[in-house]
Amino acid sequence: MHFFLVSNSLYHKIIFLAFCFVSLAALACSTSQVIQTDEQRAQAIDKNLICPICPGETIDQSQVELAKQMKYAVREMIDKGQSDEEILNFFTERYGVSVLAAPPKEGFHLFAWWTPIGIVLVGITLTFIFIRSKTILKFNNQQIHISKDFMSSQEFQESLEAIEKTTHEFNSDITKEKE
Amino acid sequence: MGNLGFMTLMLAGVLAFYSIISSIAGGKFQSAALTRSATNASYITSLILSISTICLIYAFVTHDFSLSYVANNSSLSLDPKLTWVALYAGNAGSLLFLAWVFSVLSSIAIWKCPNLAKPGLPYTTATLMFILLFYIVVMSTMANPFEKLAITPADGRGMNPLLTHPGMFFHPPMLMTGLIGVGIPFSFAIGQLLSGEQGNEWLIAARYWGLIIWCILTIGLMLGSWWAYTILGWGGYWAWDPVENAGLLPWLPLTAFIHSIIVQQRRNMFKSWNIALIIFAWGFAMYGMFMNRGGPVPSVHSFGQSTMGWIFLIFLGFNLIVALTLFYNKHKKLKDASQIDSFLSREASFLVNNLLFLLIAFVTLWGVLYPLISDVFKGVVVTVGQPYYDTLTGPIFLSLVVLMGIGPLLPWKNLNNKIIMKRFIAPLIISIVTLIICIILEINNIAALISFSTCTFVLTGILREWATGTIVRSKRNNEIFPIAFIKLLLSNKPRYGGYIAHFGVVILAFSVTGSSFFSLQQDFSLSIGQQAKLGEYNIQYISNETITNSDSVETKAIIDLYKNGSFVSKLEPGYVFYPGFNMASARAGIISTPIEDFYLIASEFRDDQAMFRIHINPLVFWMWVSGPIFILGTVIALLPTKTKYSNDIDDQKKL
Repeated sequence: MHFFLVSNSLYHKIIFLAFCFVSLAALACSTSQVIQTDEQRAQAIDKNLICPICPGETIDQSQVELAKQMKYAVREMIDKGQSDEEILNFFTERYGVSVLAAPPKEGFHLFAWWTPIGIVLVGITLTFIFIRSKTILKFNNQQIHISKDFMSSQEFQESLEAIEKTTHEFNSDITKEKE
Repeated sequence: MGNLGFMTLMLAGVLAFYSIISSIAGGKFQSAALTRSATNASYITSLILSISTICLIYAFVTHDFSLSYVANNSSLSLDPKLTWVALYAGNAGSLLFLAWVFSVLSSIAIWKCPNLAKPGLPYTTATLMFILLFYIVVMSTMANPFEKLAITPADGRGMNPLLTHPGMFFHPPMLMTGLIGVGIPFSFAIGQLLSGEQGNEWLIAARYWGLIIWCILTIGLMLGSWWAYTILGWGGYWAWDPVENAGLLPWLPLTAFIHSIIVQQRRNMFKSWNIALIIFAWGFAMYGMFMNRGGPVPSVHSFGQSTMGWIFLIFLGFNLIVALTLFYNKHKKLKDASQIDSFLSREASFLVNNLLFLLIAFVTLWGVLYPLISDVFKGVVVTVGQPYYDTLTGPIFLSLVVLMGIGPLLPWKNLNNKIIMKRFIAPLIISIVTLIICIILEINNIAALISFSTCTFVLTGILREWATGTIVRSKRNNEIFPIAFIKLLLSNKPRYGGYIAHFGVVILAFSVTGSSFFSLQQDFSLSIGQQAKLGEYNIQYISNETITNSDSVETKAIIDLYKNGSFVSKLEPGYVFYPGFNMASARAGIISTPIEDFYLIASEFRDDQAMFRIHINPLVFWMWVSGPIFILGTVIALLPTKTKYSNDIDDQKKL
């Protein structure tokens, strides 16, 4: 079954899968930061709130009075035991969605988050199909029908090694000449 | 001098126009005389623009405040060293700087044009001069750097205080050169489209200019981060600010381009794709220039701001429409000579690399555009900031680092799997060892774990390649290791230059991971004599000082810093207030070590009280180390090669 590759090597599959796995794991983990203390939690929230009177700056960065009051409010709400979501909602109701440093992951704004992810998936699929079509096309064009038995046969391997040896010698000759 | 400056500017415009007409005619009618005349005209244009630029510098040096631009961007008290910065501190001057740099680069590009690209040269020249002409026209009609004031003021307004930083000597010129410089490979692409037969004529020129401009842009971006880190005083180095994004956007397709051009060189593939990439890069570069001049979004970069953004938008649109139409009509001529043989071949990894870079560009662009979309379709104003970009681009950047470890180990075509396994075993083992060490060290962030082990994977892959190559060489030629190593590097400069740049990326990734996942910060309100503690550090607020200069008031705290109880250093964090601009800029106190930066900001001085923010930023030091490594790698990759490096021994040798 030529699912991943033209040659049906196990190593190929392993490495290709490892790459996929790492990328996906990274995607899944990127949001799951471990937050320990209340203060670190508060700082993480600060970084998600934009100061309404100083465009482009979060309340974490801003030095104005309003940002300070908001920071204070965040810490008070954390002390009261409110969740991150409740705190962010509190500010959204007051100042509108634009107070959030990133669009909320709900309703229409899912569009903001899922479009790039959709493009990623489409891109990966297209590349996959593209490479596969090219590899298959090539083999069809050249009418190569080499059986796997032949590929792994002693005779084939020996001739392959002979070719490699010749090219290697040729190349080292060139290098020597240059020097 | 102002008159001379304006006259030379006009003359340069006329010559550029002449050069366009005669080079197009020369190309159309195959007239060597016309083409040569156009080429000479473009050389003279750059000379004349240099005179124009010297005139403006001269006006700054002699404090000629009759010129509006000089009066607005300098003053008698301005440090003479800063004259260079003043040259591009405002809109009109930065346009002149852009035009001048571009004309000089164009002249070099035309002069050094490889023989192969000569048939397309008339069209390349025409494109270069058309871009230049646009800037000259904008200056002469809307933003004249030599405009005179009705009344000559006694003193100038002074320079934007945020620009008085050593980083500003290089960051803006590097970034501007990098952005406008994309126009050069772009022009070669146009020349290729209009005259090329094989699709490979522009290759050498494109690779050289792609690498040079990439290096300049990279350094420009890094200097910008450095400046933000030391002067904007928020403890970070990258904020996904709209204008930062505008600088990053062209960098992404350009990085993809300098990779995929190698595939065209080696395998005669990706011909039309490379042209498309450079068109994207130029589109993004023009978008960057548009954002810098009156773009719609507020930012820390509002230096060259003006109301002329729309004209840049029109120019962008025109360029893209023409280039893409040409591309659409001609791309079918460009047939790829070979195809991808396997998923695990170098070609395939280059393709994935291109895909990932373009995805980051897309995410960034989407983040910039989404607020407009939301506003138009839902009437809801949203902000797209750092959390959004971090979440979406972080994993893609990480995948790129993983790919950087795998790609170079894969052979071209890949017909033999034994080689692959040999190359992968050592890096895989080392990366697993790193993973285990990190877990023992109680690093519990999964993304950081993956990133650190990936970094060592890439590093081992590179070092293994270097080590085996050096050993083989030294055995074969009886050389001692250092000499064998240097000769190895020089035996295939593009390849080993690339490895060095990758080495820089590993260091950069290491630094970014450390500082994004393990930084600490805390705010303190201290009275004189009081102490505060964060992590292993203690600070004691000793006293404060206010110094009044001619154009600014500097307020700073004197702080003693202790680490684990022993005295480290005296720090003087504070801020400088510029009454003339009603603007303050922070001066952080930074103690940088390879392990972590101690970063202290002080504000709101009230009698004996002040607010302090301590940041502990691990590994940031390494970020500034990676910059010079990028330069080194690019320089090695650009060194002239005797042979057309098609003898990539590595792919056949069995180590």
